[in-house]
Amino acid sequence: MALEPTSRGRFNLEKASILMLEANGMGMDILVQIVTGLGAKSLHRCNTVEDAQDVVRNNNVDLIIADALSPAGEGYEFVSWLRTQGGEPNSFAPVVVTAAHTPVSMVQKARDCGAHYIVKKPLTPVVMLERILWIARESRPFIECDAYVGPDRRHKNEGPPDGKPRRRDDLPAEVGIAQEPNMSQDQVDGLFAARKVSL
Amino acid sequence: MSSVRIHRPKYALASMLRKPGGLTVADAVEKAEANLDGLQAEAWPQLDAGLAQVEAIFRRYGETFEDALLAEHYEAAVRLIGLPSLCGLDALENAAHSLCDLLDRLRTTGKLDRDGVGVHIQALRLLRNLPAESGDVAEPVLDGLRRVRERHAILSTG
Repeated sequence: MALEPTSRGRFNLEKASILMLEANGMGMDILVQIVTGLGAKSLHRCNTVEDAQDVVRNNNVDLIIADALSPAGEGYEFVSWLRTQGGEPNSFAPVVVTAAHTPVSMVQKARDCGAHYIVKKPLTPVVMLERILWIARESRPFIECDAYVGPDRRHKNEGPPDGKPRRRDDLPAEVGIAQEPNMSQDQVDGLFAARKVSL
Repeated sequence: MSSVRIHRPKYALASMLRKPGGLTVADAVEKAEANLDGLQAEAWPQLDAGLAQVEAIFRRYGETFEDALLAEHYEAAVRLIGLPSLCGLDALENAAHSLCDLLDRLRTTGKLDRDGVGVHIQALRLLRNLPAESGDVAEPVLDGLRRVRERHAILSTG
């Protein structure tokens, strides 16, 4: 659900340690002005992936906002590194990736890097706050396997990709033949009827 | 078969956000937007320099497809993103995104559309100089850019 920008609901980002990865000077300024406006005080500003990796190795971070960086997508690679080699608890940290434009060749990399959300630029305070609140509220499972480490990419209940079951608990796409006789109308009504219960 | 671990990590961020104090959403968004307004003076010269660079690269176009030149052009176009919005030029922001899309599609398909890119360059300049209240003029311009992009979307999938 979209965040209402005039909401009187409260939130507190004061104590959150936030890592920001952005190579472009103006891009970093925009990000800093947004997150400080939202009340954040503890910021790690990183211009390169190496700087960001150092911060991850030496600090606990509560939120990471990483730009995709160049068209080659070093930002996505940083997130993949974080998930696989960042060390706990940082490897599970909430990650928002920002991207000015995602080239066709990078779409898969962006999807599979392990970020919680990818936000398209231009960044706005309301969208950034909305994504932060979404991450904090959601209880998306974290998946770790050979091909992917990160929050479950299936979080919209749209079924398996291409309609083909891939996981053990995915139901088959085809509905099989009924294994039992249909319920009678009385049985169906019984499921909905109010009943007296003793507590 | 590879092993899969599925778990639900607890985010410290979630409990921090609920701590007493902090800001209301309305106050925070207002403060952050005011902070961004403070960057406008710095953003205008960067926007103009970026537009000049995009135009300069276009002047180097030849008659044949050159991937390195389109890559350079794409990177320059991507650097524009975010600056027009900061200056209150939303239509220019859309046009810059459109140019990024077009250049990416041309690189993907290995085609050169000098006219299509040229239309985008002219549109960027027009939208940069358009008075803020000229929304009626911007809309057909953006619609024209969309049609140029769509032409290449059809070519690239067909």
